[in-house]
Amino acid sequence: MKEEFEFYIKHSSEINKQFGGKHIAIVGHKVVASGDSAAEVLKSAKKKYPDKKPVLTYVPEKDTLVLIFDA
Amino acid sequence: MHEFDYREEDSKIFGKVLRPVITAEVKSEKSGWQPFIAYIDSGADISIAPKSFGEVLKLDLLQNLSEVKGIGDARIPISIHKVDMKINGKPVEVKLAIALIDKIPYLLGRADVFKNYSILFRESMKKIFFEDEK
Repeated sequence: MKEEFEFYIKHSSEINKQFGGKHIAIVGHKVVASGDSAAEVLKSAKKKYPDKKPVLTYVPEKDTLVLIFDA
Repeated sequence: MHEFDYREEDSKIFGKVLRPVITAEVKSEKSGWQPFIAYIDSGADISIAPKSFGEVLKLDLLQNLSEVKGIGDARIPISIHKVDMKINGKPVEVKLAIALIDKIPYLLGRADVFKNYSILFRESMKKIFFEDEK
């Protein structure tokens, strides 16, 4: 998980440009699947890398402003 | 102690912004452990994840329905669940709101998370430090 996290931090600019507004799955130093659903992205990543545990996230679009949520 | 990083992101208003992100793993009664990357948000009352992540966790999204809102009147429907979460390796039970929409980032909010950890935000170092709360 550490490797995937470091990749996500270090390559933020490229990842944001290519995958803004998409769900992605990361394995090692690579985005291995992307799409509009975390479930579909995970399925695709596991098909390609059955022995790995893909890390999921959602890449924000440029105009995303993270705000306070009040339950 | 675990360290995480600030991530540089684009903002139409600010140009570049730094946002605190962490990795965690979560599991429900019906799923295995699933790692993910989320913003850590001290302003959020509860942790929130996209709808399709609820499907990954095999949660019943018709249960425990409610709404959350940000600034203004926009509201997002949610389904609230208890899940197990590992941040430092130690599993803790947390409330997780699954948004019933998919275009939403993963956020870790205060409920059940902040009481279990001492969290230090050091933006000047681009680091966030997590320590188990004594």
